[in-house]
Amino acid sequence: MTTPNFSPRWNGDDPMGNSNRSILVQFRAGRCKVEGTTITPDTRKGIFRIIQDEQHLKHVQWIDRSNGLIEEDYFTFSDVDLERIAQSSGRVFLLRWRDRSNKLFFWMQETNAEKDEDHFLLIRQALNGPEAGQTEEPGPEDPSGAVSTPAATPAADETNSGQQTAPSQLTTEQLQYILENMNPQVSGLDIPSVAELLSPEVVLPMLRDPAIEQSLQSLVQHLPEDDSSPEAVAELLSSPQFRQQVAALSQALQSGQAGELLRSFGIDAQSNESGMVALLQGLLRYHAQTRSMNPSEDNPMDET
Amino acid sequence: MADEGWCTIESDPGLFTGLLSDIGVKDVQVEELFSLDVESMNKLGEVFGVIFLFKWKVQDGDGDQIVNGTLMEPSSVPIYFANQVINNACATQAILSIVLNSPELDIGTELSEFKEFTKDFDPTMKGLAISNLKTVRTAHNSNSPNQHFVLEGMKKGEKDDDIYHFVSYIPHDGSIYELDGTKAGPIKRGEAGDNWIEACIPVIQSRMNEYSVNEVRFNVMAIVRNRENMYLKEIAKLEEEKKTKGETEASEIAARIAELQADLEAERVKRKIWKRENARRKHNYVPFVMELLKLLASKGELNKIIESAKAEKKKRMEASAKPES
Repeated sequence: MTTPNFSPRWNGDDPMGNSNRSILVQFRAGRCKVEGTTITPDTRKGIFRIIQDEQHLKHVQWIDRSNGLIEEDYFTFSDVDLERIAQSSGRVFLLRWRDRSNKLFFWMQETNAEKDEDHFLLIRQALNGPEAGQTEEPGPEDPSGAVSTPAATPAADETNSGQQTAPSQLTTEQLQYILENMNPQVSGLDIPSVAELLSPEVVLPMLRDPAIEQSLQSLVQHLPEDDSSPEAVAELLSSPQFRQQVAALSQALQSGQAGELLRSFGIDAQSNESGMVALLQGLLRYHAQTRSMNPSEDNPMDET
Repeated sequence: MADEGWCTIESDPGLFTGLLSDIGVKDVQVEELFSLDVESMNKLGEVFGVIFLFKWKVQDGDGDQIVNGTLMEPSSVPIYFANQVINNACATQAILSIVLNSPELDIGTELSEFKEFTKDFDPTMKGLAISNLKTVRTAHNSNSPNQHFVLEGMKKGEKDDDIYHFVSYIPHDGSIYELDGTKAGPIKRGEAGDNWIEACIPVIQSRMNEYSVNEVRFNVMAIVRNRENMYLKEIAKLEEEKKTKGETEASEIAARIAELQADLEAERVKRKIWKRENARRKHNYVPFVMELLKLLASKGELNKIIESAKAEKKKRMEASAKPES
C-alpha cells in the first residue's frame, strides 16, 4: 500500500493514492522516542499529518521522508489534545488522547519557527472539527503571550469539539473497517497482540460476565485437568506458564501466516491476511456468522 | 539435521527435574542455589554436578583463552565431553554432561546405551548425536512455550532471543572440571578435596567475576539426590536407631525425626507445585485460546477486549514512562 521513494514535495499528495482521503494538516516534523523519563528526538526527517479517510475517520500519521513509509498511523476516535512542551529546547509538541489511550511526541522540522503557531492551529482544527478554527482564534499553547492574536481558554477549546466528538468506544463496524484497511507491513499499528487481548486484566473481568461464565464451561475441556475449576482458570490465566505460551503464540502470529492454524479451529482466515489481522478478521466473520445463525446471542455456541 | 528443532526452554529447577525424569534418570532432582555459601552448599547432600547459567554475550564468551584453569585434550581424560552444536539445547546438554559423568546414577537403559554407543566419538560428533537423540529432544521440547505451533513463514527466534549459556561442574578423579560445550575440551579448575561442592564455590565465583561487570543474570543449580526419598530413608533409619536407644537419646532422635518430617512435608508441597507447573508448561493452550476468542467474538465482545487491551497497554506504558521532564 505504501509507495517507496515517492515525491519529496509535500503538496497534499496522498501517498496512499486515494483521492477520497483528505489531508487536514501536513508539515515537516520528526518523531520523538520516549525512553523512561526522557524524550529523545528521532533524527530522521519526517512528515506529520492528519488525514480524514473516506469513512470520515481521522488518522494521525507520521511518514519517514526518506522512504515515504507511513510509520505511525493512529485513529482518533476520542478527543485528542495538543500540548506544547514548554521545557524542551527544541520545538516539541505532544498529542494526548483524552481517554489516555495514546500519547505521541513530535518535533518541528519546518525551518520557520514563526509558522509553528499556524500549524498548531491547523492541528486543533483538524482534531476538533473545522469550527474550532473558524470561530476561535489560535489556542493558548503559549502563555507567554508571544502570539499576537487573543488566546482562547482551554475550556472553550474543549467545548468546541462537541459536535465532532466520536464515541470513544470502538464499535464492531469500526473495527471491521480498520482491519480491512490495514496494511500489515506498516509498523506502529494499533492492534493488540493475542497476549495483550488475553492478559488477566482484560480477560478476567470478561469471564465474570454471567453470559460468558456460563459458556466457559464448554472450554475447560481444553485446559489441564487440575485447572478446570473457575478459581483455577483465573489463576491459570495469570500463571507464567500460560502467559509464556500465549506470548509465544502472539509472536508466531505476528511473524507468520496463521491461515492454516486458524482454519483448523474453524476461524475463516483469508489467504491475503496474515497474523493478527487474519485472526481478528476471522473472528469478526465468525461473529457475523453466529449472529445470523443465532440472533438472540444468548445461547452458548456449539463448539465442535 | 541437527537443526531439526530444539526450542528454547526456561531454566527452572522444577522443569529440569521433570526433564531428568522424562529422559529416564532416576532418583534425582534439581535445586536452585540462591547463595554460594558453604552452609547452603552443604545442605544439598549428595551433589552430582552444578550447572552455572548466565546470559551469554558472544564477544566475551568466545575463544579458548582460559583463566584459572587448564584446558584438557578431550581424549586425555575419561570424561564424556560433547561440544554444543545448537544453542537452544544447551540447558539439556548441561544436564546430560552431569548425568553421563555420574557412574553412581541410574540413568536408564536408553541413556546408558547411548553413552556406550557414542563414547568413542569426538566432542563434535557427541554433540551432534545428542542433538539427534529423539527421547531427549522430545522431553526438552515438551517444556517449550512454542512447541505447539510453527507457522509458515515464521522467523526463527534464535538470534534476538536472550542467549543463555550453561556450564557444568563435576568432580572427577580428585579434581573439579568445568564442562563448557563451546570449548575444545574439559577444563580442570582445581582440586576437589574432601568436599568437592565446597571447593566448587570459589571456582564458580571466579567464573562469575569474569562476567560480572554488566551481567546480573546468573543462575546456579545443582543436580542432587531426590530429597523426598532421602528424607524417607533417613527417617526410617532413625526410627530403627531409636528403638535401640535409651529414653533420653530416643527423645533426641524423635526430635530429629520431627524435623525431617517437616522437611519432607515441605518437599512434598514443592513437588506438587512443580508437578502442576510442569503440567501447565506441557499443556497446549492453543485450542483454549482460540475457543475463548471465538466465544468472546460470538458474544460481540471482541471490540471491547481490544479497547480494554489498548487501555491496559497505555496504562503500563505510562506507568513506566513519565515523559514531561
